[in-house]
Amino acid sequence: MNNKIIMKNMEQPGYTGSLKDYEAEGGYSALKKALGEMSQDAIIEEVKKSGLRGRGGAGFPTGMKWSFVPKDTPKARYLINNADESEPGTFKDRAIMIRDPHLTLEGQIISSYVIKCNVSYIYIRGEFYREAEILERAIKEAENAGYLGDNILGSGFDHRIYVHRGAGAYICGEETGLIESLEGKRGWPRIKPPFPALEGAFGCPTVVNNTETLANIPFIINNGYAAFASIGVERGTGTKVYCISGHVKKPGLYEFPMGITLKELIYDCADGIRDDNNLKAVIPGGASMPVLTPGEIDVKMDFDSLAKIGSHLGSAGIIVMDDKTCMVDACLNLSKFYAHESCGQCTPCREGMGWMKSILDRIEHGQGEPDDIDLLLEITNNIEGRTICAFGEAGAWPVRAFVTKFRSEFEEHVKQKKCVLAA
Amino acid sequence: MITLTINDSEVSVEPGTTIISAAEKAGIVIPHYCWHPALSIAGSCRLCLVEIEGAPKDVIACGTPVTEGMVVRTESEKIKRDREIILEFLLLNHPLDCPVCDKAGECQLQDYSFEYGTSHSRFKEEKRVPPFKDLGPNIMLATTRCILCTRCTRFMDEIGGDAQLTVISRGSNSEIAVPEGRQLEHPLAGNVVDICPVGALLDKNFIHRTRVWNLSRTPSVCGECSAGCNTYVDSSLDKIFRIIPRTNEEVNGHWICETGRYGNKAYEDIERLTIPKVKEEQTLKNISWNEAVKTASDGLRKYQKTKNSVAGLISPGALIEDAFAVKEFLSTAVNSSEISGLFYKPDKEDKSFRGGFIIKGDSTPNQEGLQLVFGMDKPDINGGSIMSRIKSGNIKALYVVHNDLSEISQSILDVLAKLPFLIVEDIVLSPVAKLADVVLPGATSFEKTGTFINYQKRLQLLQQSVNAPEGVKNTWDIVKRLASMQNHHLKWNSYGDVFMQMAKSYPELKGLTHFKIGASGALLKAVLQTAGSSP
Ligand SMILES: Cc1cc2nc3c(=O)[nH]c(=O)nc-3n(C[C@H](O)[C@H](O)[C@H](O)COP(=O)(O)O)c2cc1C
Ligand code: SF4
Ligand code: SF4
Ligand code: SF4
Ligand code: FES
Repeated sequence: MNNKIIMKNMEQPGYTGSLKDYEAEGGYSALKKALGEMSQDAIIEEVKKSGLRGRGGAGFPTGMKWSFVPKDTPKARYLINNADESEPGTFKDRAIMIRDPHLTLEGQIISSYVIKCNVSYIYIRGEFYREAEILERAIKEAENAGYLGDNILGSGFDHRIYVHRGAGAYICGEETGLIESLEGKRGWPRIKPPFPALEGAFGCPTVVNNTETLANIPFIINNGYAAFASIGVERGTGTKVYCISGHVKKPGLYEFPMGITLKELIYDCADGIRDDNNLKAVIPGGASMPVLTPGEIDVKMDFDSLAKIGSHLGSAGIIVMDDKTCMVDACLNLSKFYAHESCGQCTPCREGMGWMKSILDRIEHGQGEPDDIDLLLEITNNIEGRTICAFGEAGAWPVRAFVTKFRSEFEEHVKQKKCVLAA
Repeated sequence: MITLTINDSEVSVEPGTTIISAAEKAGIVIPHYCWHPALSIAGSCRLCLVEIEGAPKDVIACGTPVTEGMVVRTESEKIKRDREIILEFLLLNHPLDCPVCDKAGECQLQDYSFEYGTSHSRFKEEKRVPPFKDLGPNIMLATTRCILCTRCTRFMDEIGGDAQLTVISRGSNSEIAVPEGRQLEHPLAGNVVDICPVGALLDKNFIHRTRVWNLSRTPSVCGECSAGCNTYVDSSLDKIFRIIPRTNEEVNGHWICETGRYGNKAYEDIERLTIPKVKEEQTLKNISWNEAVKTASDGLRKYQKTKNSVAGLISPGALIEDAFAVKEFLSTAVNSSEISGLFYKPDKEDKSFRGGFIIKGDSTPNQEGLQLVFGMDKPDINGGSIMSRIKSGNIKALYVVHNDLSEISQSILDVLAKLPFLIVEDIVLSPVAKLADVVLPGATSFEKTGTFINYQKRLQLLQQSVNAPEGVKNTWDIVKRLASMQNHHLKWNSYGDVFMQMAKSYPELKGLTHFKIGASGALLKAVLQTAGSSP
């Protein structure tokens, strides 16, 4: 299928992701076009009309986000390529960085031009050591070729990109935690207002975009908004790189127009469940998004369709679980992650995540009590909407969905005083 | 101006004001932990959640700016439930050890839990028990009680200008700590104890010494430097247990320094003078007040016939009332207008901190006050003019007020030793008292109600927080007795009376009384300038 935007180059045999290879596929022609013949406003308009929504998790319209940056400010402006990719089950940005780094760089330079920013950053997850090296090399290549530096392609636009490595905290993927970390502080999310578009990094207007989001920009510039908007579904235009992991025969990355169903992804792309077991549960959008049951997998994998059934596309990290999987254990596993990764700043999240983890741990190990199940649900309600950042929801939603949708399994654990699925 | 409605009150505030401050203006207190008016906004405890009509979720009052027409509810059932939820979270790992906690009785966790919390816990897990930490010379951390509001870390960074406290670890393992290899040791460190809303940060000098509900609180003013920080002195049965800041935005903000905080300590273990003494054959002997006053009066009478041969020398640790009382006594009873202060030349620089707090190099509290009383434009360092007239033999008798622990230099002592007759009011048998012919037991500034004038020329009232030991008398009382021995009747019966008499003769103090000074003091600057410029 040739409707690919993100993985089009990297899937070609022999493609290395070098500047030479990238240029051979038409790379940096979008930058030339943007700097040569398009105004900032025209690009914003183009991206708005393309319908591109952020691929970092929240699906915020990208063109609109850019338009919030004040046009006439004496302050510097910053753009940050969010390459922190730490959401469990998500590994798409990493593939872009390794296999086609110039794609996201080109998008980043164009986007920086749009908001008139002369310095932008790639904030990359600390564990991505190799990826950081690859990006550094690609930046050098782009500098040598005149795509970065002073007076890019004779346009008068100066731009530099710096790679900033994180130190191993999930919360530094949240844009304001990221900005704090970039500034050299503890990765503690900020209270909003002020929003980053007005007061972000170093007190200046800042745009944070996901690596995949930025990688879509060259296509839109090259082919026009209509080409992009014609792919996918309404309010879910373009393609999406889906990350499938867990109990499927062929885990991996699959790029499809938005709106492909979850069932197609699991059974046609990933070849179905391991050992031909039955499907028991699937998380559609990275660990934070509410889990779905086999009865729900006809859902289309776009923002609105998933939201309609109470889950979210998130990072499109699809985690598949077969019927050998204990739902309490799976839920415990996730809640351990959230208890460990809570930055500890605000009360409901700091205390609530650990509390849920302890309760789940007891239930899984045969020490649950009947009232624990409702208590878990109540804790998720008590966290939701009361925290500084969306991590609160990210940690509460999975527990609520697991407990609600697989309640009988939780009850069985409590009744039998042991894990009902353990061998 | 922006107008909004909070509960049933309409309030108008400047744009940019947060809901919590707007509410305060309307007299509505929104429960909070992490917010502090002098610190940056953390927005992390979430206790201050309020409901806004039409908003999808509750917002933090401390971090949300008001908007025109906003309708805020702070006491709805929904908000009460929010508070209950936050308090439940905060208490999960809390040891509930109020019975042994020094903060009990003034703890906001205790107070709000009582008001909004539930009486039972649903937490069946084992509580986290991180060990207590010794943070520095004066402060320890009862780690288990910390609610991670980060007031302390923000204070050290934003006000102290040195981030000696930080948060380590993550999630529910987060803890307050000093960075590796450092200590919490800073001239302003003690303030973190005061702003800690719970019993986590503790002053080692206060731990387990009393319960706060046994303390009585007196508004006072620090006597350790010319900044004149406003304080509360907490005492019980005439013993001072602690000194803490009293907010005065015009002077010290919400803070005091360590010198002021422990300013009472030096007075704790001293042997107070309680019986007057007179010198007989080179040794000081105890004697009754009546006899001491008579001896003093007889001594003065020998010299007072020649004008200005008796003089007064007052420590700038004394009240302006003390200085005035002596001045009045000298001029009405002993024919003298010679009076000056034991003014020191500051041997230190002023020290300013990041948040604007200042510790003055002049470590006396009332130099400005004495200058006002004596009509001096600038301080007469080391009592200069008086010293030279003692040396020249013009001054023969001297009345010294030195009711504090300031050191008097050897060169001054050498001059005073030459005096034919010396009366010293003091609190201990200090080097200057040892030179005296008559020693009179005086009261410390904690033991009387009167006024200082700080470096800003702000008149401030300190109130008596403890009773002086039996046998000690106030300066106004002593000079009144001395005067009556000379058939002069000074009419005052308290420091308040002395002040009222002063207010009549000093235009700067016109219309003022102790009661009228007000909690944040009265700035005299303008009047002093006019007075100074008149010929
Ligand atoms: C807890 C948490 C973790 C996040 N982690 C990431 C991440 O690893 N990568 C990312 O792109 N966005 C992450 N986000 C979303 C960012 O805050 C931000 O919305 C996104 O980078 C915006 O980019 P987009 O508009 O291109 O989607 C996270 C959000 C939260 C609340
Ligand atoms: S919600 Fe959690 S991660 Fe976000 S600021 Fe609060 S404690 Fe930190
Ligand atoms: S020690 Fe006190 S002031 Fe500091 S964070 Fe803990 S509760 Fe807040
Ligand atoms: S700064 Fe001066 S007045 Fe203020 S507390 Fe310290 S010593 Fe006292
Ligand atoms: S006081 Fe507002 S969040 Fe703590």
